[in-house]
Amino acid sequence: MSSAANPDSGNKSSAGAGKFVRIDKTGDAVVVSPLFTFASFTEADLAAEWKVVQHEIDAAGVKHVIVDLGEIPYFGSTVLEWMVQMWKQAKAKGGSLATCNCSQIGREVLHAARFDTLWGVFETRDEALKSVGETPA
Amino acid sequence: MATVLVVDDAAVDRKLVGGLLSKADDLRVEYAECGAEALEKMETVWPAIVVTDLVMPGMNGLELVQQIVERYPRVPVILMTGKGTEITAVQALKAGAASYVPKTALHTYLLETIHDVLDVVRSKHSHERLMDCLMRSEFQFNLQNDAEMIPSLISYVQSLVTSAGVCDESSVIRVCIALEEALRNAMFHGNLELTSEQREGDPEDYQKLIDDRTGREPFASRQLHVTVRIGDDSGTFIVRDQGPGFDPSKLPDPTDPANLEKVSGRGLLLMRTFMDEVSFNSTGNQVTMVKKCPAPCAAGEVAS
Repeated sequence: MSSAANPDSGNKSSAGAGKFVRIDKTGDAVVVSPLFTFASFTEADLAAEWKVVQHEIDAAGVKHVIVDLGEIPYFGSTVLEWMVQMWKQAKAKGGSLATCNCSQIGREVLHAARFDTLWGVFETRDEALKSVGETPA
Repeated sequence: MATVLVVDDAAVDRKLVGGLLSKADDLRVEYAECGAEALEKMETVWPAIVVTDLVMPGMNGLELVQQIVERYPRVPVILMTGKGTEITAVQALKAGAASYVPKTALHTYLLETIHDVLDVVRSKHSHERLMDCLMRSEFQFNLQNDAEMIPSLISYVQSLVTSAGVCDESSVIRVCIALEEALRNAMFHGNLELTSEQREGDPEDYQKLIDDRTGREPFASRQLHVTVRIGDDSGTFIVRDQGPGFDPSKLPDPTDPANLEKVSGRGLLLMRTFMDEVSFNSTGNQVTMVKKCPAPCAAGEVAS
């Protein structure tokens, strides 16, 4: 995976980008940015990168997950499934999940699934990081 | 005769462009000295196309493009780019400008570019008017269990539904979200009989299961039958698989607090959220989804 810069926040320890997801780390939070919409992926495409995401969240020192939805104008149940799995991983480590940069249609999807009652839905990545106790630079 | 609105704060450049355009019998030229004046003039002269400088006092060319795209989305904008304006030009093209001509090459390319852009716009408008007259069309696809076909089909339906004016652009996305869920349900849960529990395991193991069943009977020869029907007041999307079917009434409610932590099971929820009607046949291997046109954009009404 190649490194990827995140212009939104500092205090990062590492970052990575595949074709379908970008991962940034800020303190004890992992920021996961899906890059795929339904017009661009198959299950086989996602499988390997999804494992990397799970591995990053399982890594020592990681507690919280921020899902930055700013790269995708819309998403369906595949992204919802990822989010539930990441949320369960974070919960198991005493952490939490928050989302940010969600489009209007994305908010409708989160609302339909009632996930906006479970997770913080923030305008910006910095706000989401603050909600889990991280201080963006 | 098409009106070209030329926007440039430099009088000498306006004169130069006006001189070039006067060579064309089919163009009439109007002028504005800045972005604000251009927007004012657009309310009265109704230009077919705008040709604008990028660097101007007050509202610059990029901001003007953004305003025109928002207020007059059918009016194309051509940029005149000078040295040092390349980055702004890229931003303006991304914002919706139709094309650009370097100021150093106006003599060679401006007239040709204006005519090319006007031809494209006329063709697009004719197509839109034709689609407004569309009363009914139907497409049927028989798909193998090849997930690579799903993005292609959705992309095709997206352009079809948009072109036919079944709904506005954001609603088309909602239709496509629902259709994607129906297709993945039918392919993976219907034809390949994969369960939600299997999906929640290791993603690479799940992929191996997909690969295995895709090449093994009885799964391998099963097909997806997809019908897209565009009518004068609705779009209908029928997805039928050749699996054993299921009873949708027995699916757990994914919004029940007790089920929120379940990883999967939200496909049908999204289908019901974004379509106006969702129904299954008695076997449970065929779903019919209907999206109704909002009254003002119903196909069949000729745009004024």
